[in-house]
Order: sequence, then structure tokens, then C-alpha cells
Amino acid sequence: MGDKITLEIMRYDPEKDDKPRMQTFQVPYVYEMSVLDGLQYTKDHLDQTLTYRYSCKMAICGSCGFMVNGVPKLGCKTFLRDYFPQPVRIEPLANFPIEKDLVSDISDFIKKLEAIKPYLIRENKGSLKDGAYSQTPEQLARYRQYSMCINCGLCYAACPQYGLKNEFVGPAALALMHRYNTDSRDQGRAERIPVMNAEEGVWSCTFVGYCSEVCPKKVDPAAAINQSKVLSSIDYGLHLVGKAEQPKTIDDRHRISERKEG
Amino acid sequence: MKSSHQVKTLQDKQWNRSNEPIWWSLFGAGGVVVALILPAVILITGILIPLGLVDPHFMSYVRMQGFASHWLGGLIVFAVIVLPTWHAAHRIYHLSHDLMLKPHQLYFILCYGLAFVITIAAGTLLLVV
Amino acid sequence: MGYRKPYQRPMTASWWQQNRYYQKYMLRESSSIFVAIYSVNLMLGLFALTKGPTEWHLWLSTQTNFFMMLLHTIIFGFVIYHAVTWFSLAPKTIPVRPSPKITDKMLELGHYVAWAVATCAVFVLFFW
Repeated sequence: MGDKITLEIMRYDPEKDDKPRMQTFQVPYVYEMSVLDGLQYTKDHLDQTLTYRYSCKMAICGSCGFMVNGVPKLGCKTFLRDYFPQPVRIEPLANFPIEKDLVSDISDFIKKLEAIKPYLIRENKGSLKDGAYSQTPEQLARYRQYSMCINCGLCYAACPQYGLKNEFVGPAALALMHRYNTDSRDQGRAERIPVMNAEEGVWSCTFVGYCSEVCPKKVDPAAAINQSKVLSSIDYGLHLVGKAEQPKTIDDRHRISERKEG
Repeated sequence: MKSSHQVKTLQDKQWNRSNEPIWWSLFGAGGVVVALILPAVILITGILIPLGLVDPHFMSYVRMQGFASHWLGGLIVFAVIVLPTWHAAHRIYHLSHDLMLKPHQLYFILCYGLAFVITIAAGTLLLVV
Repeated sequence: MGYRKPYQRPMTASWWQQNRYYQKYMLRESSSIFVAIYSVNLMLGLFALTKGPTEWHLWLSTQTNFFMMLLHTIIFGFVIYHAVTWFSLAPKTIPVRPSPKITDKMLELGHYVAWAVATCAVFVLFFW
């Protein structure tokens, strides 16, 4: 019969195990198989207790991030043919806690994402009859690549600074902060600036650059963070001479819009 | 083991402004000097002159003393010594963090403290040269 | 709520050995150690210069011993590595550029032009 490929899969059962262990499976090798297909075969035919997360199988949902031979990858976008006949080692995303087997708990990233307010903020809500906010192609080009982020968390698994200090807001959240700050339609910079200026914000980054290297959507978080460092330094200088933009909270925004409407 | 599975939002978190812009700006200025100026300076002082490939008269006492005591020459010498020092201090401090060396405060004082001492020393020496 | 016991894998100080990318980062960062050594050596030279001609020539003669020559060659190598990595990263940190047509590659090339100009300037200043 056909070739087989060896999958070395990290297993962790929180109800039985104290720490993760490696388990080896032999899977029939087909040229078109992705890493995710290999896991599917394993679950369907070899061990139905294997737990992993996936959804779209087309690199847009961002659910199937794994460490493949130590490199953060999307399982659906990574092919076994690039490793065959060598064995492939599959582990949950690094730097995140392991929930079970290949499922890592990325809720810390989601908290940080929430903290940078990843949505357009307007000082006062326009009415529908005014139509959409318009934007030139040049204005779009300034942030477009950052908006491609699918929140898969590969950049967090690639970032040693996040691994060393979990308080760090991290690559994807800071890239999305930069994405909204550079969007001409957005007016929320004053609400995001305290996060940017903090030690846990852009200042925990040392420009390792591996986040940008592993991004499956060609987002460049390292560039976003280091551009934000320049902006944060300018803000620091303005702060020293008492000219920095006053940080705002969501309550300030509500007060302003109430005053305008009332 | 950490407890990040107890999901709390960061809504009430106090974000304090970091003083890192000071160190990062000095690091950046120093990085430019190291990249643009230092290769040529090292080539001359550390390789060409010691190997005798250029006339040693170019680094004679009279020439060097004259250069360093001129206000512009002194300023150049100051920049070439001091800015790379701050650049190095910043990187070495973060290197200590990368290598998980503790306590952070000790390495902070060692790195930036030495850079500060060298700054004062270089400034003083250039005033008396 | 079900039973939960998330496992956090420990991070060790040798994390940077696991791939080439991290190793190159550490190489780039450790260039600073050699920059610091060079700065200290220049400081000693400046100190000798303030003492007088005898001390200055003593400092100059220490630069010619084999150990110092070897050290300078290593420092030179690290500084060149710093420069190359600096030029490739610097364009990414520029937040605003006059036109989106200006690419990172063009800005990187600009840094090399500046490097050539600065090197010429140092040589002219020194051998003038």
C-alpha cells in the first residue's frame, strides 16, 4: 500500500495528566494532505479522544494554529508534503496555556484585543442619512495590511517577549491598535494612547521580528509596534512640555456625544 | 502556573506611562552612530593605524589633542563615545531580560548607570583636554 | 462549568536556541557588548590624551598588540552586522512617509547611501 507519515502529537488530558506527553501516529500519506487533514485522519481512524480546534479549513477563521516542528503555523495552510518523509511534530501554540491536547487557551490575547478597542470610534455618531464615511485609496493603503489580521495568535506563539512577560499586550493587538489609529475615519486615538504608552504596551517589544515572519496573512505587527514607538516617543516629548493629547475614556466619549445631541 | 484561564477584562486596568521613550531615543541615536560612523572609525583606529597601513602621524598626540580640544572636534568625539554607550546599555539591559537574569533593577542600574558615568567622564575629559 | 486545569509550559533562558531567527536576533543584540567594549577603549584613549604625549603613545602602542588587533577585528565584524540589520529594520519604524510609493527597500537603499557618505566624511576628516 501507499506511504505513511509519522505524526508526533502533543497530548495533554487535564483530567489524567500532570504534564503534556508526546504520542506518535502513523498516517497514510497523500500529497494533497494538510497538517489538519493528518489530524482529522488520526481522530477518525486512530484515536477519537484527540482534541484540536479548527473551522474553515481555508486560512480565514484562524482557529487551527499549531506549532509544526516548532514553528507557529495554521494547520490548514501547512502541507505534509513539505515535511515528508521526515516525521512532523505537532504541538499546541507556544506561550499560551494548554487546555487539552492541541487546544491552547488564547483568551489572554482576546482580553488584550478588547483593551485596544478594535473598532472605529467616532466622537459623535453620525446619522444614517449622512451615508458612509468616505476614504481615499491612499488613506486605505496606510492601514490595509494590518486589517488582514484573523486573530489566530501565531504571532503570540512567535513572540519571546510575550513568553517572558505575559503582561505584554502583544503583536496582533498592537498591530490592530495601529490599524485603527491610522484609519482616517477613526477618532479614538486618545482612548487607546494609554495602552500604547505603557510598559506593557509597545515598550515591551524588542523588535525580534518573528511575529511578522510567521503571520499567515502577511501582516507586519513588528512594523506597526515600532512605528507606534515613534508616535509614543513624540507623545512623551509633548507630555514633558505639557502639550500631550489628553487621554480619554469611554465615559468622556458618551458625555461629549450627549452634549452634542442634547 | 498562571491563572489566565480566569478571564477578566482589562477595562479597569491602570495603564501607566513608561519612561522607556528616553532610553529608546538614546538607543536609536546611538544605533545610528554605531551603524553609520563607527565602522569607519574602528577601521582607522583599530585596524589601519595599528597595522601601520597608514602614516602614524595621523594619530599623533598633536593632531589628536588639537582635534579633541576644538569645540566641534570635541563634540564629535563626545558623540562617538557617548551615544554608542547608551545604545549598548539599552541593548544589554534588554539582553539581561531576554536571558531571564534577575533582579531587573540591578541590571537597570548597572547598564544605564555605567552609561551615565561614561557620559559625565567623557564630558569632563573633553573640557580639560 | 466543566473541569479545567490549563497547563503552562515553562520558558527557559535557552529559548533563543530553538531556531535560526531567534539566534540571529541574539547575535544582533549581543553586538552591543562589543560596542560597549569599544567605547570603553576609546574612553581610555581620551583619558590618555588628557594626560600627555607619553601616555597617549602608550595607549597607541597597546592597540598594536595581537589581542587588541583580534578584538578590533571581532568588534568590526559585529558593528558591520549591526549596521546591516539596522538598515533593514529602520525603514519599518518610519510611521509617515510623503508618498506610499516610497517602499521599505528604497529607504533601506537610502541608508546605504548615507553609510557611504558618512564613511567618506570620516576618512576626509581624519586624513585631512
